[in-house]
Amino acid sequence: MAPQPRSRTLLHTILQVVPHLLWLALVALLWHQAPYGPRPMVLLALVAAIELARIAHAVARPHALLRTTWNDVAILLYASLLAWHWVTGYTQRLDAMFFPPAEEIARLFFQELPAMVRGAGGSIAKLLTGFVLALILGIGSGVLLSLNERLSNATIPFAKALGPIPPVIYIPYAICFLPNLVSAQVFVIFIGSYWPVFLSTLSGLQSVSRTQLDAARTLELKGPELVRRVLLPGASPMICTGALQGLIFAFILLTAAELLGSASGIGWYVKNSADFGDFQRVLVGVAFVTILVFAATTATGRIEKRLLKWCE
Amino acid sequence: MSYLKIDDVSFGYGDRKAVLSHIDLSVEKGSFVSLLGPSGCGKSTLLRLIAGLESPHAGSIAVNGLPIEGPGLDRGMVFQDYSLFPWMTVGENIELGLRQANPGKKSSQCRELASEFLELVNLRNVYGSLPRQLSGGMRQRAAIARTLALGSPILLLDEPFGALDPVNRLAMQDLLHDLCQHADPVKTVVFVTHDVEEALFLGDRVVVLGAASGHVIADLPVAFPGKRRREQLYASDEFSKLRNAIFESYHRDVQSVLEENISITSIGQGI
Repeated sequence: MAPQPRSRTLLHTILQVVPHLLWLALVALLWHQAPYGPRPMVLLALVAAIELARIAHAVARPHALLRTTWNDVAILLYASLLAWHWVTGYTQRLDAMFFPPAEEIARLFFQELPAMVRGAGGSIAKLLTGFVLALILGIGSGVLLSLNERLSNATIPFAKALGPIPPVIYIPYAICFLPNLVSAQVFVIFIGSYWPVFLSTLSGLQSVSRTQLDAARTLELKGPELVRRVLLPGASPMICTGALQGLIFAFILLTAAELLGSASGIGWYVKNSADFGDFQRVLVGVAFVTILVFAATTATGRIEKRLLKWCE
Repeated sequence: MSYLKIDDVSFGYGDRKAVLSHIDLSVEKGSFVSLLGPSGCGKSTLLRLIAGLESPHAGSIAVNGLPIEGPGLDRGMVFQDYSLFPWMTVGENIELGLRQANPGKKSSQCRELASEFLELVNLRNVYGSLPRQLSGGMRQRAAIARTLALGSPILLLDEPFGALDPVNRLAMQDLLHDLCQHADPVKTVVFVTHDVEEALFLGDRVVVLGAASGHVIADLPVAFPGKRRREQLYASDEFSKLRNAIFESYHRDVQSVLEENISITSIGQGI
């Protein structure tokens, strides 16, 4: 590695110490009873666990880049917790209904966790069904259209016009035409993630270089072989971007889909709590969904990295 | 009868003026034709027509008496920029060529043969590498290996060394020369280049296309005896005579068009 300028290494060293200092400040603040709100016992335990996990991770896998990333993430996390606890525990500038103390959210989170996990099973099943359908049909229809120029010229304007329609618009129609509630919910999730996958497949196929298409023609690659060996791999970088977008849309639409008369699921949990003005539970639900989204995007990131190993 | 016959072929992209007009060319089996010309003269276009990637607007192209209709495995093509599929390893690229040419061949056999083709172009230990991990010269060697793996009797090379540095370029010329000398069965090669020395070193015939006219402006047999050594070749009288003849034909081509277009109008007319 090239030697780094002195000022940069100094900054680096300081930044490495910062999370530990922030952690100490946070623990010191949490140790005392704040003027407002409950005694932050759960938060204290949580923060201690995070720091322990961070140290264990750094010892177990001393990969410099990863350690730096976790280091920086810890700075952001501790700083936000510190700010949150300070504002809610030591001042009364914010309405406690909309901005409950961090401690209350932490307690409620663990209290509600078993119920949320139980509810999440159905939600994840619906989400995955909708998303996987969108992947199959989005990529499939994109490939089929691009194989026929006249067909694609005729249909792409419609796709461009239909794409931006908010998927919630389809809800009444889905209820009307589909056999049951679950299929209507899956449909809303599907339609939300279909467009990004479909449109990215189209532009991905257009981005395959002319030389590679010519090479494929001189090799007499045709039909399914051409699709499997040249078109899909060539379009895969853009398809991956579209698929990640589609996954995020699927999560957003999960809440909308679970508005449809169901009385369970994580989307319903958030929406129902919001309807009753229970913002503590809204925040707990949002935190839970955030963890799910983080897990899902991390998993897709891994798949993408493996799929696109050949890209520079 | 000639092996590859181009008969009165004209072609233009879209509505623009013709790139090629009334091209006639006969190529004997086993010959190495260098197709030379300045940028934009249509030499790559002519090669694409032979490959079947484009269809002529007029005239016809036939191989062995059969008119060509689209690309085929009898005509292997090497492109200027890297046409290896970057998502496959180098070995898989060659295997793909082998499998296309020999459907039903066992994959273990294909793997073995692919290594042999890589060895033929002096590439070792790159079977499992991705194209992006190779240098430009190595990628072009692999592209040549994939084309050779097709076993096509006709090789079409579109400025294959155009993007390489001078040292690599000469090494690749030597490699191609050796490959074609020892090919069994013989290969008929059409090699597009804008480098006069490259054309003369490799070809046993140099066909020059004019940029201005879209015609064949010179067709010179190149007969250097024995194994070609670059230093001796460049110093020989024969070589400089041919080189001068080519430059003269360029010059005449530009002159002829200039003469045609000269017209004098009085100032103010047409306003």
